[in-house]
Amino acid sequence: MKTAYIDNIGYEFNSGETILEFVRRIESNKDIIPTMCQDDRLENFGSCRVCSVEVAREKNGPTRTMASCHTPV
Amino acid sequence: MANKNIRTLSSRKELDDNLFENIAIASQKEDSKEQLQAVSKRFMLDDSVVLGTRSFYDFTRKENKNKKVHVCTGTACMVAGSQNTLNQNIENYFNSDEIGHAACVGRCHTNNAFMFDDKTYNASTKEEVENILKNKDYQKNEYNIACNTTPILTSKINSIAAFYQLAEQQRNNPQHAIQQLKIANLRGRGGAGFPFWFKLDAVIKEKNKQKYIVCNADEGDPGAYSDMYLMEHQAHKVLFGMYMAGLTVGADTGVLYIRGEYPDSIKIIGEAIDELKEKNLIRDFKFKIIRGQGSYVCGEETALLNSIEGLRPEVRVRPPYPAQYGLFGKPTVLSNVETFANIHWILENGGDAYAALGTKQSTGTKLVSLDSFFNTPGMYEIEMGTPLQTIFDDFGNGFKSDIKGLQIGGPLGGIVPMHKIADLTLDFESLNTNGFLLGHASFVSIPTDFPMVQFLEHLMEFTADESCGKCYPCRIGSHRGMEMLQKAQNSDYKINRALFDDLLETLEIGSLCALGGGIPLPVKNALQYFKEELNDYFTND
Repeated sequence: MKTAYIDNIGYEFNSGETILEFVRRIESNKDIIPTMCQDDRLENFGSCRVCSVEVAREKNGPTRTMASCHTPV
Repeated sequence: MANKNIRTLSSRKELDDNLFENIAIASQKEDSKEQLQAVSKRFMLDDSVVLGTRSFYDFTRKENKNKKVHVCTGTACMVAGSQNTLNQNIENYFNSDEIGHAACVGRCHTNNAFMFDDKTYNASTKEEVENILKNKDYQKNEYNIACNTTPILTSKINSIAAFYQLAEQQRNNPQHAIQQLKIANLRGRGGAGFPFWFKLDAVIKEKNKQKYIVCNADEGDPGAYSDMYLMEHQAHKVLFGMYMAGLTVGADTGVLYIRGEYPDSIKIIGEAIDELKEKNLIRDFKFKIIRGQGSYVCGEETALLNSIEGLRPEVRVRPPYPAQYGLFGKPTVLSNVETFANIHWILENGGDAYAALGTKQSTGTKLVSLDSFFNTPGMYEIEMGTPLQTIFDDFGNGFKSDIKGLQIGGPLGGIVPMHKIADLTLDFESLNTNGFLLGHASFVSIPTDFPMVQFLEHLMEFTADESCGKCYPCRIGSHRGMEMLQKAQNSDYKINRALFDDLLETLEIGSLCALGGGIPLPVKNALQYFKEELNDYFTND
């Protein structure tokens, strides 16, 4: 089972899924990550960076800021 | 999606009838409007696509069409303070609207640099300028060349035929080549230091029949001329590296993207390719030179690929990486000139011999470009791990005048104050851990009397000019940064430090590529090490 964590709570993720898709699938608030240039009908373009999130490779590890719309989990 | 469609249309005619070259040529024509329309029609593109590309580049832009002379505005020429006089001297012969600019023509060792009639020159006096503009004589780009260790990049090739013989011995054993490059721990010399063998390994695994080798020769970093040196003095080392990479991964085409500010490099590489054909030294592989049209961001790998395709050179999102989806969407090995130039020596002498040079993590040698403030400026091949002070003393022979710091590794490289030089060695790790960058290992001196705030303004202006405009942090942030620094110098306005720090953080963490993401590094170095000088321009209120 492949697991990714949102605020330290683990969830299963699908391969190829972007961080944004993953979070929207899990969270009840679909707008929890704000977006501007992203639209499900378009290819992810990555220009506005509004959907940026902090990503760590391990618990409490150093974080990097990444645009969730075009970064696979 | 739109880009993918354009890419497909562009790739139908591929490299022999290349869209980007067509646009560049049509842009210079008297009837450029009609010519460009003809190009878009022939490629079945909308006019807006072709105009979008044309309007991006300095050399193809409509408003720059009548520029006859391009004066260097690179960092090294700027700090040398030589360009105002040069401009005035040139204005005696050309109207000011005929004089354009070029961001570094690779003559940082002498300055007073400009480009004219597809050649580059240094000229410090009125008479020299007059002579050049009248006679258009070729002026050789000369500088010191030396090495402090086993010469890998600066050694002479005795016989071209024997040199290429190595490829024949290796061609049937691609895994051997990858293994040797892995043992050698050859890291990308463009600045990022990515292990080169990994790129080959990724592309060899791709099933696509069409693959490409792309050499990034868009050495845009003002102050660096090491790629230029390799192309003009060691062309076959570069070409061999690309050829060998092609044989290894199964690619039959190598593209060199050479910046338009290096006309000599384009010529010399072209002659070297012709020589290979004449002497029949390579099999199943062809080379193609693509001439850049004056854009720094094209040195970013995905922008470079878009540029070759004739699209606007905006940075692509990653993944997919070029190894999977590169030129025309095909698997592509893309690396820097100097990386390719190392390959022959590694395969001839073995990965172990290469790894024995330098430090454990930064192996081999690095070309170092010293600017005109050194007593003996030039191109030096230095073993990784050598103390910077040793390079300054033994090769630069000290400075001509008082220097307060240096910018190392291009416009995105760190600003190092003189007192930190003693702590640093020439390798990725030493510079990184101290908060700087190895980058292209170019050394641009900052004179003691040169205002640091003006230097920062130059960096922000450069970023604002060269930003591809795709992501908001870089496009808007670099402009806002430039405006603040200008206003602080020209009026009694003081920059709010918290606001400025916010801007830097947004650029650093939010930008799509290393241009917007990298520019905060030197600015933050300056704010730390030249605090007293810069305090006058900032306020904490």
